[in-house]
Amino acid sequence: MTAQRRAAAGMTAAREESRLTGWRRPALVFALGLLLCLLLAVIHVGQGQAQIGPATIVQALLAPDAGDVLHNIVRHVRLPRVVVGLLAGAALGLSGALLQTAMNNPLVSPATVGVNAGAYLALVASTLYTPPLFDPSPLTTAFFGGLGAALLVYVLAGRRRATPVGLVLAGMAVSMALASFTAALQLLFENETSGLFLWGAGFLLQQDWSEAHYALPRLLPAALAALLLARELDVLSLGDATASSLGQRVAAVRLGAVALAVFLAAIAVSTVGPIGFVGLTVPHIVRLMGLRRHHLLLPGAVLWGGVLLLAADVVGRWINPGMSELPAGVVTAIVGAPVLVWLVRRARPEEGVRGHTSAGRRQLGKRLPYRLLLAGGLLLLFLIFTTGLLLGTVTIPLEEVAAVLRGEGTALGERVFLRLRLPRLLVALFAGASLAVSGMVLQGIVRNPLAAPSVVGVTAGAGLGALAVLIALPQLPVGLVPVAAFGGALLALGVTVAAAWRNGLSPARLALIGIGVSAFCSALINWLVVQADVRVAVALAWLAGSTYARGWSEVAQLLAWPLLLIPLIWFLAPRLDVIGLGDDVARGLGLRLEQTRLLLLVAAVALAGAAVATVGTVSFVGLMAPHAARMLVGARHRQLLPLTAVLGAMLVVASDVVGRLVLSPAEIPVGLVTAVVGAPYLLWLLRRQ
Amino acid sequence: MNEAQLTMKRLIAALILLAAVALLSACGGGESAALIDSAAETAEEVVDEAEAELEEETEVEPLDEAEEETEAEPEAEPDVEAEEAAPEVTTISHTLGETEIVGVPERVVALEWTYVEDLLALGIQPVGVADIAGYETWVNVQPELADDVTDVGTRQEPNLEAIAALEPDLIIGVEFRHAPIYEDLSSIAPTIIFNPYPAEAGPDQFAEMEETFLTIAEAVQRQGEASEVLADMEATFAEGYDQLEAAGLIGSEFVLAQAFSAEGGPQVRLFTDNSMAVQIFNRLGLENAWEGGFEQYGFSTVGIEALAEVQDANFLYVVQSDDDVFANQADNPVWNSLQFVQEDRTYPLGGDTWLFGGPLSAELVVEKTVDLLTE
Repeated sequence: MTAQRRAAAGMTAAREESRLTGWRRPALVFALGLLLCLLLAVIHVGQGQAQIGPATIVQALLAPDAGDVLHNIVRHVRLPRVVVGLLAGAALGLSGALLQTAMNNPLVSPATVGVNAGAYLALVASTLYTPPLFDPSPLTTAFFGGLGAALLVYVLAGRRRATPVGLVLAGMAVSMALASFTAALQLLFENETSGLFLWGAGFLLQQDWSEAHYALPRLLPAALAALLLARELDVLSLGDATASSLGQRVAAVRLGAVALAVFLAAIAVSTVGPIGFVGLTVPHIVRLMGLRRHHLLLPGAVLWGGVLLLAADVVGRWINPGMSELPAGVVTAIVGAPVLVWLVRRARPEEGVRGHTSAGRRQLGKRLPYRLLLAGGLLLLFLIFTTGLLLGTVTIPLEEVAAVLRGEGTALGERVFLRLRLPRLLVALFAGASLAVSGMVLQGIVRNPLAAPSVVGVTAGAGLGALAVLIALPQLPVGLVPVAAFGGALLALGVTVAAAWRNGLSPARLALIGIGVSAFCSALINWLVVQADVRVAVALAWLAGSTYARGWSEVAQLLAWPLLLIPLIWFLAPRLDVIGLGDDVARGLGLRLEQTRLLLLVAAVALAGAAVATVGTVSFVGLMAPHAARMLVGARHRQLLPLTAVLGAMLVVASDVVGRLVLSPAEIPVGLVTAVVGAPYLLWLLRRQ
Repeated sequence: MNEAQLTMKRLIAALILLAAVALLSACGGGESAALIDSAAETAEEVVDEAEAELEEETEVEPLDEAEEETEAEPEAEPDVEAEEAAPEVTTISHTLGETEIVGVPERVVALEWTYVEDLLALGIQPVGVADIAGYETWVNVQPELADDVTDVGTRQEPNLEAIAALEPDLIIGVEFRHAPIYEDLSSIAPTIIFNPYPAEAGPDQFAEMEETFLTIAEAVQRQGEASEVLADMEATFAEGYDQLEAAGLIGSEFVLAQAFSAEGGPQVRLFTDNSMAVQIFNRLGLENAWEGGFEQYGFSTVGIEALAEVQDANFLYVVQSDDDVFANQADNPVWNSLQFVQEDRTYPLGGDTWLFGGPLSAELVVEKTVDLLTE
C-alpha cells in the first residue's frame, strides 16, 4: 500500500509538472517522433535484397508502373513492411502502457506477463493442429492464447495481493513454461515448423499488403477505445482507494484496460510474432519525455512504439545486410533487456517481496512423519529408477536381466543395461537433484516460490555458452560444450549480481535483473540459431534438454558437483531459514547476510550450471520439486533439502523413462516431458491458492 | 571404457549400497538384512561387470585412438593371431578418422537418408534406417526400401538400443548430427561418418557426394557396382546434355529454388555454386544465375524480393504438393511481374526430388529437369 501511495504522490506531482509545461513539450515529443518515423521509413524502404536505387524508389511511389518488378517490390514488399512495423510497434507500445497503468506496475508488458508467449503458443499449435479449412482467424487464436496466459499469471501471482515483482516472476515462469511447449512442438515437427523458428524471434518480412490490411482495422478501434479510457486511467493511477472514493468502478476499468492490452498484443503477435521489450520500454520512454497523463501518454506510446520497432528492424538489417537478416525481435531484446536492468536499478528498493516462500503450509505433511515421507520418496525413486532400467525400446527378459547382474549376460544385454540405460538414468537422477536443490536455494534467497534457476540468468547463460560453441565455433571439439555452458552460467550470474548489487543484494532486484540478463542471453541465442540454419535441430534438441546418449563420462562430469555442493547447502540450510524471516530479522540475529546470500547463490548456480551443462535446459524441475517438497514437509530447509533432491531426481528420471517409451523408437527430449508435466502442475497450484 | 570409467562404476556401486543403507535406516530396520545383502551383491556385480568389460575391450577395441596410430603393430593379442584365417580387414577413412571393418558388412544401419539411397544404389537393403516415414516423403528413388527395414528413431537422436539390438556390422552417419555420439555408435559397430557440407576450402558438394558414395562402396565391398552406378549417372548427364543442346539451351541461365511456407510468407532457398544440385546442372551445360557466394549448406535463404535479381533465368523449383508456395503467389504483384513468371518459365521438379541425395537422386533431378526444359 505504501508503495502505491508513493506512486500516487509521484503521479500527482507529475501532473502538476505537465500542466506547467503546457502544450509545448507534448508538441515537441510528437513532432520529434513523427520526424524520426519519417526518417526511419526512408532508410527502411532503401534496405532489401534487391538492388533498388533512390530514383527508382521515388518513381515507384509517384509514378508506379504495374509491370515493373522493382516498382512492385517497393510498393508491395517494402512499404507494407514499414507499415506493419509501425502498426505492430504501436500496438505493443500501447498495450504496455495500458498494462502498466492497469496493474499499477512499471515492470509489466505483454512479454513480462506472459501474453506474448501464450499468444505465440496458441498460434504455433493452431498451425499444426487445425486443418486449413477450419482455420480460425489467427488474431482470435492469439487473443485467447494471450488472455489465458495473462489470467494464469495473475492468479499464480496471488491475484490482488500480487506484488509488482511477484507478478513479473509469475509472468516469467509462465512464459518459460509456454515457450518450452512451443519448443516441443517445433522439435517434434522439425520439417513443418522450420520457418516458425525465425518468426518466433519476431520477424517483419512481408509479401504483400495483407498483414497490414488485416492489422489496421483492428488496431484503430482498439486504440480509440484506449483513448476513451484515458481519463479513467488517470484516475486509476491515483491508486485504488482514491479512485474508488472518486466514484470509479476500479475493477471494471482495470479489466477493460487489460482486455484491450491483450487484444493489442495479440494483433502484434499474429502479424509479426512475439516481440519483447517494446511494450516494456516505450511507456517509460514516453513518460521520461514528460507525457504522463493518459490522453498524451497513450498516443505517445503508439507513435514511439512504431518508431522503436522500425528502428530495431533498420538496425537488424543494417547489422546483417543480405540474406540472413537479424529479426527485429532479437534487436529489441538486445536493446530492451539492458533498459529493464536500468529501470530496476533506478527504482527505489522494494519492500514488495515478503517472505511467503512458505506457501505450502505442511498441509499434507502434518499427517505423515518426515522420516516416513523421505523413505517413501526414496523407495519410489528406486522403483522408478528400476523401471527405467528394465523398460526400453529393446525388451530384455527377466532371466537376461538376472544373467547380466551375475555377469553372464549377452553382449546386447550388458550394453543396454550398463552402457546405455544405467549411466543415462544416473545422469537424469543427479541432474534432477541438482536442479531441484538449486531452485530451492534460489527461492529461499529471493524469498519467492516462483524463483528458479532460469530467473537469475543461469539457464540462458549456460545455453548461450553452449550454443556459442555448438554453432559459432563448430571447429572446437564437442567436449567443450559443457565447459562453455558452465562458463556461460557463471558469467550470467556475475553480470546479474554485479548489476543488482547496491549496498547489498535485494532479492527483488536480483530476480528482476536476472530476468533482464536471461532475456538478453535468449536474444543472442535466437540470433545464433537464426544464423545457423541447418544446425537448428541440434540447437533445439540441446535447448529442450536431453539425456539422450549420456554415458559414464557425463556421469563422471556431473557427479562431483551435487556430491560436494548438496552437503554444503545442507550445512548452510538453517541460514536459509533465517533469511526467510526477512533482512532485518536476519541481521538482528547476527547473520552476515550479504556474504551468506552470495555463498548460497554461487553454490546454487554452480549446481544448476553443472546440470544444464550436462543435460541442457531442463525446465521446471527447479520450480516444481522444491514447491512440492514444501507442501509435504513445510519450510524448514534441513528437512526440505533431502526431499527436494529426491523429488527432483524422481521427476527427471521419470521424464526420461516416459520420453524413451512413448514414441519409441523415436525419443522425446526429457526437458519437453518435464515441461508437459510442469504446466498441469502450475494449474494445480492455482487451484490450491 | 577406460580406467576412469571403471573407477566411476565402483563409485556408483558404492553409492547404490549407500542409498540402500539410507533407505533401510530410514525405514527402521525389519527385514533389512537380506535387502542390504542383495544390494551389496548388485554393487559387486556392477564392478565385476565393468572389470570384465574393460578386459574384453582392451583386447579387441579396434577404434581406440591410441591403437589407431600404432596400427601396424602386429602383436596385438595372441587370440587375433590364432585367427589368422579370419576375414580381411578394410580400413576406411572418413570425416572423423579411420575405421577398420572386418569382413564384408551385411547388416548396415544408415542414419541419414542420403546414405540409405547410396546403399540401395549398391544393391544393399539396410537393416535399420532413421525416420523411414520421412525418407519415403522426401526421397523418391528406385529401388525402394524393403518393408522389413527397422526404424531406429529420429535422424537427430537415433535410438541406440534399437541400433544395438539390430547387431549391425556397419553404421553410417552424418557429421553435423552424429559427431557427438560417434563413440557410442563405434562401440556398437564400426561406424563411418561423412560431412556432406564441406567448408569453402574443401571439395564442392557433388565431389563430396561421389567420394562418399565410393567410400561406402569400399566399406561394403561393392566397388564394381559403384562404378556402374556412377557410369550410369554420367551417361544420364551426357544424354541430358545432348537433349538440352538439341533444344539450344546450353549456356542458358537457371536458378534453383526450394521453398516452404513460414509464418511471415514463403521462405525461399536459392542454391549456390557449391551445392550439389548446381554442380549437376553445370554438368548439363546450364549456368547458375544466383550469385550467393559460398554457403556452407549450399543455399541462401531469401525472401521473394531477391527473385528480382535472377528474373531473366529459368526458374526451377521444389515445393511440397501440400505447400505449393508459388501457386499461392498468383495474386502477388511482385511475383506476377517477374520475367520468368510472365514468360512462363517456371518449372516444378516435384516435392520428392531430393536435392541433397546420392547418384540416384542426381539422375532423377537431371531427368526431370531435361523433360521440363525441353517440353
